[in-house]
Amino acid sequence: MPIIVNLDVMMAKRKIRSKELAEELGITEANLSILKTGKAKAIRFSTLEAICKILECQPGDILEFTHE
Amino acid sequence: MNKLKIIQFIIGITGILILTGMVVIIVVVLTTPKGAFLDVTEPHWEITSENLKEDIRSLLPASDEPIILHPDNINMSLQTDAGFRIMNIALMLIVAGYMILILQIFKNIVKDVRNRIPFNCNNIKRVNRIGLLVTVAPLVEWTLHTIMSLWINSRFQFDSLKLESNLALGWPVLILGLLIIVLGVAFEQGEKIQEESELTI
Repeated sequence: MPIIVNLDVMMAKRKIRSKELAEELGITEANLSILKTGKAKAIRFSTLEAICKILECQPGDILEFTHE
Repeated sequence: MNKLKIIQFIIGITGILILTGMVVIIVVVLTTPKGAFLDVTEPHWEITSENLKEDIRSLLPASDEPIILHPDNINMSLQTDAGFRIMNIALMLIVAGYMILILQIFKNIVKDVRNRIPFNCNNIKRVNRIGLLVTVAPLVEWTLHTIMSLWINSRFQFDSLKLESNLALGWPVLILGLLIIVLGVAFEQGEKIQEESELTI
């Protein structure tokens, strides 16, 4: 998939665990895992906004485009 | 959900009625004494001779009402023998089996819909299967009628009479079958939409 989700990297930088982040986002750990592993087909702006707020980052820190 | 319960109930009752009817017919056909006559509603004989039609019409009650009676068709009863029994039971098993197969597939679809998992690979296949079965049902009916007609014609021929079948299924059933096939395509699209929805975080 051309869009890479670098959530793991940002979570490591902010030292936050999946369970904690999922709880704060209001999503299940399973869904967070789907997002982290690049299996998600889409992300809601509301979710992206919440991630950026919690991890204090920009969307570009989480999402990266590569040519396949 | 109540709608689905009602539909499941109707499917169940229909299945029971078909099975019961099948058993009753088999018992009747098997227990009819050899040599006794059983009515055959389809195919039937059509009078091809205009003279014969006129002769019969002249015997019908006259009426001043604006109605004309047409003595076109003659029904028949056939003497039971081994061949007749086998033919009847075989045709009936095919028809009943066909209907029960459709009902069983339908029942599984309704079960998944009740469990809130309507759009899945199995249901797509099931809907496509029902669509195909319903679409070809008129052809199957025609084939069975033709087999019956050929069997009867091989034994009986009459001047001025021709064996004909009134097919119950036709264009409406064919269109219904095509509609169900289209629904199958809609189910496929629904599955994709569902997958996207599930994978949208």
